Amino acid sequence: MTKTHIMKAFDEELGELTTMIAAMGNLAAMLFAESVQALLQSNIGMALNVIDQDQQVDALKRKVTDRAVLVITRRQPVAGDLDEILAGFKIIEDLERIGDLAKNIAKRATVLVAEPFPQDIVEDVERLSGLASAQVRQGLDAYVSRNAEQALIIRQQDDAIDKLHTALFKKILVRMTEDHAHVVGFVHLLFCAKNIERVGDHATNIAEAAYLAATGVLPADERVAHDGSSTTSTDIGPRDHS
Amino acid sequence: MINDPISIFTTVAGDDTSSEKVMGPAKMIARNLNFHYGNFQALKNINLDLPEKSVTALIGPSGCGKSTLLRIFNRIYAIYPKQQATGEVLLNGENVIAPSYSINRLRSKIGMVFQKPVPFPMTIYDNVAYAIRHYEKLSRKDMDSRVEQALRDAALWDEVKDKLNHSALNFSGGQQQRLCIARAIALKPEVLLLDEPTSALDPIATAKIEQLIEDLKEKYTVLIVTHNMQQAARVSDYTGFIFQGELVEFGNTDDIFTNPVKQHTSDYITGRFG
Repeated sequence: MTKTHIMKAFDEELGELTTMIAAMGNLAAMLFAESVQALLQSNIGMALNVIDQDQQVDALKRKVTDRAVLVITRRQPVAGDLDEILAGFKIIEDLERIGDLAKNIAKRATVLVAEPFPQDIVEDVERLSGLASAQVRQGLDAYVSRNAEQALIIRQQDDAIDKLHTALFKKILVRMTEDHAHVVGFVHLLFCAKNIERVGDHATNIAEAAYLAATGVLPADERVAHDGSSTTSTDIGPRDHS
Repeated sequence: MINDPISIFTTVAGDDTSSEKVMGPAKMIARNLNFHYGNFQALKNINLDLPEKSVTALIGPSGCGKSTLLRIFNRIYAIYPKQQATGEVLLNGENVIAPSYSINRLRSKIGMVFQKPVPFPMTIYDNVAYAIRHYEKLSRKDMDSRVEQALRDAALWDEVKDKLNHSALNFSGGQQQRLCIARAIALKPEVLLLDEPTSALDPIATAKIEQLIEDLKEKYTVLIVTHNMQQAARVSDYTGFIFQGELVEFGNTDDIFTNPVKQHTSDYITGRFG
């Protein structure tokens, strides 16, 4: 929307909502990055901080919801204005889930302090979380700038996360069969990797909501997920159940 | 007991998505309609179908021509000098703005209700019976029946059945407006034209009229002009956006208010009109 509303306060309220959602997004993205850092660096203090800070994400979600409800009540938005607000509702759901996933990774980090992980797996987790973090940041940028083109690009990039996760999943499974002494640690690590992959999915949802906010419609084509971890075994790799 | 849970979803009234809604046959059709107030062209080449037994809303800023269009549909402009319509307005295939189409016949087929309730200074009963007497000679019993039916159809009967001999001027604005609707439908018209029918009413009276409009479309084809966009979204099946005498966009109301095609329409309904 390039033109401003006749009621300037309406524009201010919509702008305020976007700012609040961006702030909530920054916090969720930061907690996610710190949770992975806490996991890989065995930093209990950082992990406990993430667990504690997740409440702030939930509190921001309640604030944004209350404010959005107020805008709907006052302005009775239609068409593109309503799409913007609905996109905001979708995004805060995903941000809340990212906060929950970060908290879950942080909780696991507190029990994995003494677990030595192979360097190649650590590097893969770092790469996976780096990709997911970038997706979340870019998705939020696309929403704030109402950039439909950028939103579509982000949506396509989730494939890389899915493929890397599938490979990492298999790598951890193989190590589990070889190193029975650390099976518990690897199980937790599998969950952490899955959580990171889920953050990527939420980033994709954010990008789709950003597209909705910018254009008034959801992307036309159905996105095909490439995460094959749920059909992966240690001997034959991903199975095709389609 | 419902055996097929899917049927719950497929049979819910109104669950059809807007893009699948099929426009019914047109009751009235404007073709290449132009209108001039002296040298000023108020409407430019309007082409519009009013689907039968549905509610069509016209929206647009003041002076855009929406009320002018409404008034052409019952040729009310004909009583003013220097006002001229060209083109066609077809009702059941006949051009009602042609001089050969009798005004009396037209008024019996197309009822109109105005912005401000204008009851005649007479009783409730006589307000409704007045127009019927002009067109038909009925026995007292038949007239009583017609008056009652019109008042029932206008959702007013229960409130006035014991006060039929009271002056209409003693009733509230909302009741007076429903009386005007009763007066219009007493003639059993085919089309009802409503020109901002609730702009002078409070929210409760407005809600009653909106419910009435919902009920009326079972029997009549309704065209409503409104400045209240939420009202258009609430009560109409189809919406036309008029700007500077042109019909900018016409379509299913659901589409117009969720995903309008024209930027101009979007700017207007979202309050970005400058």
